[in-house]
Amino acid sequence: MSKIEEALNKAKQENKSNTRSLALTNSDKAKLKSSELMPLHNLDNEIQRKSSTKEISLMDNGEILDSNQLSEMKIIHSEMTDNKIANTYRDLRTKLIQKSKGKNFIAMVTSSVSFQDSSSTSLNIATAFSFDESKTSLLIDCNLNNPKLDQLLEMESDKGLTDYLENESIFVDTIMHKTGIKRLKAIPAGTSRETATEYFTSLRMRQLMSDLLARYSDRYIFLDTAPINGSADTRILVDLCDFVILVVPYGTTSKGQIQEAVDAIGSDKLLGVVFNEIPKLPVFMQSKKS
Amino acid sequence: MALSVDLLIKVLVAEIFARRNSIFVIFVIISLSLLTVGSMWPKRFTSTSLILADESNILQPLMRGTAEATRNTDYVGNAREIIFGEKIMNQILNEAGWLKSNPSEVQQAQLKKSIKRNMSVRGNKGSIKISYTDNKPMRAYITAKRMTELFIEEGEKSKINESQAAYEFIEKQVNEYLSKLTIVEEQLREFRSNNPDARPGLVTEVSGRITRLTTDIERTHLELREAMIRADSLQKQLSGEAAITISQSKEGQYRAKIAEFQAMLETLRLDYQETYPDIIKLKHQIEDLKSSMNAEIQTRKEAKTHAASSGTSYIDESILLNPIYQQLRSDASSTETHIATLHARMAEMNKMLENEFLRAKRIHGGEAELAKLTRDYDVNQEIYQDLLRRMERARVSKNLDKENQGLTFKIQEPAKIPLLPTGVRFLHFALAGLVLGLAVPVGLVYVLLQIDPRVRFSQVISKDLGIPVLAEINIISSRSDDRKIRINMLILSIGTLMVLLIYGYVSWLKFTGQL
Repeated sequence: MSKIEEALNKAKQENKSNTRSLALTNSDKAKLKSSELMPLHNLDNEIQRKSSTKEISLMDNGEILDSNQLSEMKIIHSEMTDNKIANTYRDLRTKLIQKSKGKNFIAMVTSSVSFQDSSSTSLNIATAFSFDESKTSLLIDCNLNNPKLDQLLEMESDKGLTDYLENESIFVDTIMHKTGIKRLKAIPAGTSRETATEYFTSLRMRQLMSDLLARYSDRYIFLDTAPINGSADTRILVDLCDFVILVVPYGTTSKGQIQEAVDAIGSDKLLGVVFNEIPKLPVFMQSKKS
Repeated sequence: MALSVDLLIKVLVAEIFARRNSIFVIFVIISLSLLTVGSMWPKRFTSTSLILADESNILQPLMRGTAEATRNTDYVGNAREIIFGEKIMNQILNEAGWLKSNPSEVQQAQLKKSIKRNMSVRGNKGSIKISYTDNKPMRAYITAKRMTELFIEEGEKSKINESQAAYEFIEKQVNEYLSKLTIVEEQLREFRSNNPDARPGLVTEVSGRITRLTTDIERTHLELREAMIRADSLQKQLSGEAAITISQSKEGQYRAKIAEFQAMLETLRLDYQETYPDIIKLKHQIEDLKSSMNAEIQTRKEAKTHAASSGTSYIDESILLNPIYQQLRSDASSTETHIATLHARMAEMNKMLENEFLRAKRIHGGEAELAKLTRDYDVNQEIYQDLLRRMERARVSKNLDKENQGLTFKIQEPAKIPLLPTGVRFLHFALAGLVLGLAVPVGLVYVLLQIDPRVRFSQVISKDLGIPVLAEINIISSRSDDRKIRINMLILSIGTLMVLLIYGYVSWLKFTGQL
């Protein structure tokens, strides 16, 4: 755990509101103000959180995947041969926690152009959060037209988000699946995939998000969405999340396309860009660099 | 955005690594195809000889102005004309072994064409380089060698011919002018015999004489006028008016005597009577004197009328005896003679003038003809002399060329049997294959990086677009991916090794002459 995280946790235990204001800059204050106005955070203040490391440790993780399996699934793990990548994700985690001032959040992970894929990036960010024993993460596949999470996590197609939104008799616990990674749970897209826009604007969706955020103060929620350029669903989801991470794969996106995505997200929600898929250097050059 | 070289190289290497399979394919295609071309490329052997055109021999300064050694300033152009001429070409075909297979006329023409194509004649002011390129080193050598020898032979022959022709031409001209000169001389001689007084300066002489005569005539004319006026004046003095003057003087004497007697009478009358004897005597004397005076007047009148009727001047006897009168008479007479002389001279001179005029007229026609003949003679003689001198020079020049003392061609470097082929060789192709095989795909990747607008550098996002970059993440490869990459790299290495082995094998074949 990084020093910043430790400091933040400590501060949280002492006096949440006081320390928060101490660490803020003027621009952060403005951002905070705007985020506090949001309904999710209002709910957040009202509902008492059930937060405890003990509870997390008792969490049923199911069958845990070993490092070989994780490697084949291209999911980061602590025993990676190239631990530079895992460290990069850890740094990214620290940056996100810093931005949220220690509070848990809903982060949307999207890409800009239709053929690009942000699923593996969102999965790895969520995995990086789950590295920390005091935190859990939840990954929700909101890419209803082209869901990838099932494939990535090798889950069987089961009830998911759309089923929950469609059928009020289904509980949240039913759609939350184990992933084989400690402290990481996932909600797949679901079996029914019709009229997606209507699902995301529904009150039940909104309620679901606030419930999920409020239930555990150490649970971080990640939405994997379709590429934002040309997707109305993703634009609607921007409103439901705290901030957006834009994935730009190496050598696939022009400046104009990036700018278009940035304009669609809006500057207040956009946290930054994750530039990935950078081709590896040959082994002899890697060793030289390290 | 300006990217650092370091970053660019890093991305370039990463891209090349990512595209290693296509790059390998391009490398194999380029290197092996160039190797194939190189192994099939015909060998070319060039044999070269260098000829020096030596113009500065010892004789030249000695003979300057007297003899002109044949000069060929455009050596290369001349050499080309001689070498590519039909005569030498035929000899070459024969001697370099082209006719062994008994080619037809058309084939021979094509052979000549190809020889001309492979032959190069280059050079500058003082040297000529003859090279011949062939796929057989021996044939290249023989062709270049014979070509050089034939060129020198032919060059010398043509030089001698040239000076011989020059000499002959000048000789012909000399003979022509000699005959012309003889004709003019003959004409001149004939003219001289026909016109003995035709000699230079005659016109000046005649015109001088005419001027002199005219001046003389004018002077004589003036003199004549003067003499006539003088004669006239003398005649007047001698004529009657003079006689009258003299006769009047006699009458005057009488009147003076009468007046004197009259005065004496008046004086006597003061003292005496009329009857006094002296008075009577005086009165008688006066009477006598008066009658004498009247008689005198009468005589004169008569004489005058008589003289007027006879045309001569009346001259008193007393006057005739007067010495002054006699002097006048003598003067008048000499003046008369002088006038007569002048008249005669005048007539003579006019006649002479007339003669001179006639002569002058005659001379003018002859003078023009003489001038023409003389001019012709002079011009012809001058040219003849000049040509004669030139002919002698040409004779020396001719001998100079005959003895090979003028411009000489020396073989500075004789043609050699070429050992190494020239031009693009197998080695060049082989090296180019390896270099291009690597450079072309790498260059293509570089070009792609330069022109592809898609973002490959996180700096573009952070600096150009101003969006924070949270993380830069490499491709995540699974263990099986890593294994695949290793296998792939092994295959590529083996492939590269194979290409190099093929290179080595083909080079060995080429070196041992089996290919």
